[in-house]
Amino acid sequence: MNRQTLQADAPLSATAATPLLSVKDLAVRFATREGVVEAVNGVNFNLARGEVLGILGESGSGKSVSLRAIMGILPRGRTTVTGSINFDGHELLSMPEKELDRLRGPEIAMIFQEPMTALDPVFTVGEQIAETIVRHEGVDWSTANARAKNFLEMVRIPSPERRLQAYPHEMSGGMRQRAMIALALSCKPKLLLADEPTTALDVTVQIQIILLLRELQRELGMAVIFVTHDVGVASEISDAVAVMYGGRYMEHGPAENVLLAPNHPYTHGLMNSTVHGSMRGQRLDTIPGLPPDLANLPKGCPFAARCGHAIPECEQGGIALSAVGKNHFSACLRVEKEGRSFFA
Amino acid sequence: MTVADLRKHFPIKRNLLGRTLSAVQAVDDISFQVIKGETLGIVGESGCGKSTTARLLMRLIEPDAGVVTFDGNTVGGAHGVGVRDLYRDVQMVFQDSYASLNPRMPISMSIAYGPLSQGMNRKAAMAVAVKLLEQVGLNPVLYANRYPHELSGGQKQRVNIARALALRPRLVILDEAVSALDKSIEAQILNLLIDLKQEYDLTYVFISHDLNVIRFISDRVMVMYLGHIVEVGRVEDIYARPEHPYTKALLAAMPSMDPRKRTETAPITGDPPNPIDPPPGCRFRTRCPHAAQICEDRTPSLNDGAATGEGHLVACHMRDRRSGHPEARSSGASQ
Repeated sequence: MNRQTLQADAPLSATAATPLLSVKDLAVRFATREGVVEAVNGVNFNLARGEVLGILGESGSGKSVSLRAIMGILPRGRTTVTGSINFDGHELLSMPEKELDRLRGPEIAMIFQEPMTALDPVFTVGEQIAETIVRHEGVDWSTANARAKNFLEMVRIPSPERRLQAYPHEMSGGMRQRAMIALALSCKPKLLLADEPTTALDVTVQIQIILLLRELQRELGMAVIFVTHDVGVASEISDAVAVMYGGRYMEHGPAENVLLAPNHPYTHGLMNSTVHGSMRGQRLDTIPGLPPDLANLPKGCPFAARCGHAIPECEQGGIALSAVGKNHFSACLRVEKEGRSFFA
Repeated sequence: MTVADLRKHFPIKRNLLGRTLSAVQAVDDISFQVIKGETLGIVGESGCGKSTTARLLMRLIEPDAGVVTFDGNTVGGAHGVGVRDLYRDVQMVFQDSYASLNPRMPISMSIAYGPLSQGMNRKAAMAVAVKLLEQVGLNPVLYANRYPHELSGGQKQRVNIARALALRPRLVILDEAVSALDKSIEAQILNLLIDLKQEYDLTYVFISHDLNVIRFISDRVMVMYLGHIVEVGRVEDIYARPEHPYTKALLAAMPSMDPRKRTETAPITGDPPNPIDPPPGCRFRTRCPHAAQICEDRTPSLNDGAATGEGHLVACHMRDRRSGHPEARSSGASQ
């Protein structure tokens, strides 16, 4: 299957009339002293309204860079972004910065791994949330302050009245993360971009934040793209999961299919090398070797060098997602040619 | 190795006379044993004192109180084993693989440094380094003369493991040694650690916040919360029959690997409290659904929660039927 047919039958959006977000041939290059780093290399996907997509990948797989490209916050100058990002009828890549500013916040919001860098240390949490509401909705400050308190209640911050007066450094990690979520949701965006928001948290706090995000996502009916390196976290939050490697989607489909019955050799390897359950005493089935150098990517499948199923053609190029099930896509040449998964 | 009543408080505020007003009670009177040949996993959330414990075992910091005994000999003090001798038997691998290596030294030299400092001649020390590089999966011909910045995170951690083994220690303390690595690399390092343990007849103290990794590698598990040990026992017992409310919550908070069986409710609310001036009594009581008056009045000790099965100890008043806790019940194995 080629890319034309993929666009007509993109994952999980068959039921929705038009996708909220449609990303086509997204590529991101960074010019560095060591050469051109090819961080994202042709990513295609559609995201339906209210859908939660988990992007799973290891460091350097391009998952965070893709997210930042959608938000339009990659450093200008040394970065080249090509392809198309269509959000609710707007082409984001050709949009002037001023118009983008009107979308960022009310329509698309983002949360980060480290809230300390996302929140302004010299303003109280209340001031920051109220300011966002005033700026984007033009209401007066007292209305905005009341709304800010509601948002803190919504993210289950105890004694919100008092917390509005708190500075970010006066809060614990979990509370800061909640405050950042409140800030991001203060204008009820249609799309929330989440870049590893639970990675720095303790496990008992992480599950609280995941449950909170799931609840708010349903309540507000917003779509979410949730980037993580943790299979368990992706499994807890996602409707659909995309697995990235070497700047590409290796596999994309419903969470159950991708995580429980992976089709692509990389997804399979990743699941096997992730310690879980009672694997004690077993030898871990590891993926040999190292991830590819993004400044020197092979022409064909980026995983070919570490793949136990690779054939010479895998290194020739022309690797694209093809359908392997309902709304389930895999970018493996052998699966495409032989019409079967190795792991069924 | 035996640890008795080990304590470390870090003062953060003193009055004019230099008396401590408040302190981080990082490790507060903990006692445990590391049995020869085992892997003891230490698990807990940030601020629970697991890394401070590791540093105390290595004497990287001096304890305020308590005694550490290695193989029958007291460590430190006027008559005890000195740090230099201790390091022949006990070595450590840290989380930050880059910061642990001298950036101006080729990695083979970093590995040979320990043996050299203990009086081995240069040729023999380099031979040790070459052999260890091979054993940790780095071809000495390609890697011996490289510098740390030329290696990936996983490769640097292999070097750190090789360096820790260069003095032929009997006990290796691994403090979040795989936590910074990607999953595919983490699996490679875990396999390597298991192989080396057999080959060199090692004992491991393996510290991690990752409950899956702890379950995979440990023989026994020690769960810590705010500077106290709350539960210790064989890995099967802890994961199949956790007794302490905190251990139960910790295990229930692990994300599900199956999208069809997602977590519905968070086992406990709130964040771990600040270890500065922690609450008196049981330190978990501020988040515990079973907290009662007795939990505030008296700190439960590991012995109060009588052993349930083979060396499974729990520090909870509910496990001691004489404690006066309303939900206390007698356990089959008590007395």
